[in-house]
Amino acid sequence: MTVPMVAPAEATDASAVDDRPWVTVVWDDPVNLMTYVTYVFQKLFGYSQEKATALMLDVHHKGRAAVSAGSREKMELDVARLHAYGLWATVQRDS
Amino acid sequence: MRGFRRRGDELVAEVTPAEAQAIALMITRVAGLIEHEVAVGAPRDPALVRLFPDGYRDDPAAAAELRELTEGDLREQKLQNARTVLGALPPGGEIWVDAEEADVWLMTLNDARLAIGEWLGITADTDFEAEFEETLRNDPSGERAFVLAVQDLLSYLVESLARALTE
Repeated sequence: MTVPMVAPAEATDASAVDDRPWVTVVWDDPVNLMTYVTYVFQKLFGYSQEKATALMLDVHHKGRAAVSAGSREKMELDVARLHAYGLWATVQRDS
Repeated sequence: MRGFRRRGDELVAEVTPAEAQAIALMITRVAGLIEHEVAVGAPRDPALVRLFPDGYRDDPAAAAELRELTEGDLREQKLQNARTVLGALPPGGEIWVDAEEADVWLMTLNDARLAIGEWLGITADTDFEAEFEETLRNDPSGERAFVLAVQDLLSYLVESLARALTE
């Protein structure tokens, strides 16, 4: 009886590598105020009032919005900064 | 109570002694929870779950790893913010906040709102005004009426401060 040949783990198909960018997602919650959320987006990301308001409305109406994109480390930092302000934020691959 | 307004480079609000006391009580309660939580991994007060949410939604291992990296600093920051506000909150009268401290006030007042939201069981379906009125009618001197009143007060302060800062 022979041991079946098993491909080494690192030899996976290159096309299976997930190269979608990382994003920071803010989720809707029942307590944070719209004015406050808009202010936090302006403050943390330097967004114009118009852009910050649009993102806030996405969170409110669609339940979530991607508020920043970049390296995984940068997104984790953004999430921590948003948690400091009490916003419900997570890191994920862009969908 | 009067919400925050700009006055020169500063922001000014005004609270009664009873309001100042209620705000300080809630901030102290939240800070106490953050400071004295016994063991990591033990069941958490829902307020703490909300204040320190997972940083990954569907990946518990990544969420735990990120928490390991960031939660200690976050707790320290929230505690320091609470101490700053408690130290600066007058026993009633005008609250003066300069531009540099404004975010510390916002974060602290908002953390108290988030904690209270959990304690009251506020969901997307809650009609806060209706709930407040009904509680005031049925049990005006109960704990829930008090906490709802403080939430109403904190919301007004956060709203007016965020608005004054974006004007």
